[in-house]
Amino acid sequence: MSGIANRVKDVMKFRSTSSRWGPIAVALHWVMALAIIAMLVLGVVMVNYPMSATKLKLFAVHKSIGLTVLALAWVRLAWRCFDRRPRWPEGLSGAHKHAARSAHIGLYILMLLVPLSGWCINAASGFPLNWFGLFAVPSLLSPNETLQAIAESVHLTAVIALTVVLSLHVTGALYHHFARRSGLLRRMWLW
Amino acid sequence: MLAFGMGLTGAAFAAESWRVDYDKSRIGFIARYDSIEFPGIFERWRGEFLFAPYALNKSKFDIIVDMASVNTRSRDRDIGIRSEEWFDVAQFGKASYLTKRFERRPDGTFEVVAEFRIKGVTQPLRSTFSWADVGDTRRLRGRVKVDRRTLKIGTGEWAEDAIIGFGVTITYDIVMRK
Repeated sequence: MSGIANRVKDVMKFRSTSSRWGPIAVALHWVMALAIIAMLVLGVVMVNYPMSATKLKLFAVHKSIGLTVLALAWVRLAWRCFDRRPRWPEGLSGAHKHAARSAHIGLYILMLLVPLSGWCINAASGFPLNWFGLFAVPSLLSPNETLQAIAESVHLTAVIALTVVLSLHVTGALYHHFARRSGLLRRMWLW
Repeated sequence: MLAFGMGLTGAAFAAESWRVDYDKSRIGFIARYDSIEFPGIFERWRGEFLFAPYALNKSKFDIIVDMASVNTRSRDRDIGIRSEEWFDVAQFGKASYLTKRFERRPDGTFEVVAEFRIKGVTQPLRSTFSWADVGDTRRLRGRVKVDRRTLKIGTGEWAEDAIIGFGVTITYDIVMRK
C-alpha cells in the first residue's frame, strides 16, 4: 500500500500549481502545438503535390502524425481531468476568461474531430493505414464513396475551424503576455 | 499444392471443356501499399480452360483481361492504377495469359508455363496450381509472383520507390461447370 501511495505522491509532483502549468501539461501542450502546426502545413502541401511516390509518402507521414495527435489528445484529456488549473492571471476580464475557456474547449473537440475524420477518410477511401510503418492500424469503416465524401467535408471544415481557433488562442496569449504584461506565457513556458 | 481429380474416367483422358462460372471465379492480384497488402480483382475477363492430367498436351488456360475493369475497392486508387504510369489502359486495354505447356512435377502437382502479355511487355510465367472436382464443379486455383518493374507497371519515380511494393502476386480462382 505504501508503494502505491509513493507512486501517487510522485505523480502529484507533476500536477500544475496555482501559478503555472505542470511539466506534463506543458510537454503535452508544446508537443501537440508543434504536431498540429506541422500537420496543417503538411496537409496543404500534400493535397497540392503532384501524384507521385513522394505524395504518397507525405500522406503516410501526415496520417501517422495525425494518429499520434489523436492518441495524445486523449492522454491530454485524461491528464486534464486529474490535473488542477492555475489561477487566472490578475486583471483578466470575465469576457476574456470566457473566450479563453471557449477556445480551449473548441481546441479539445477539434483535436479529436480532425484526426478522427481523417481516419474515416482513409478507411472509406479503401486505403490501408499504418503508424510510421511499424504496425497496421484498423480501419474504422468499410470502403464507401458516400462516407468518404462526408468525412472529407467534415475534415476540411474541422481543419478550417481549428486554424481559426488556434489563431485566436495564439493571438490572445501573445496579447495578454506582451500588450497586457500579464506574464501569461510564463505559466506554459518550458522552464 | 496437391491435385486430386476424383471425377476422371477413361473417356476423360482427352482434355474436357468446362464452362467457366464467371460469377464465382476471380482473377486478381495482391499488392502492397505502404507495407500493407491490398487485394484487387478484374471484373471483366474471359478465359478458356481445358485441363486433363493425362492429356496435358491438349490442356490450356488462356485468359484475356480488360485492364480498365480493375477494382481494389478504392475509387481513388483505381483511377491511379488505370493511369499512364501504371496500367495505361488508354493505350493497353487488354492483358493476356496464354498457355504454352503444362508440366507434371515429381510430387504429382502441375505447373503451367504461359506467355503473359501486359502493357506491351511479354514475359514467360510459371505457376503451380491446384485443381479439384466436386460433382459437376471443377475448381482451379493458382498464384504467381511477378516484379512489377519488369512489366513496366509503375514507371518514372514509381520504378525506384517501393511505397507501392515491387512484388505483386497474381491470383486466379476459377470455378467451372460441365
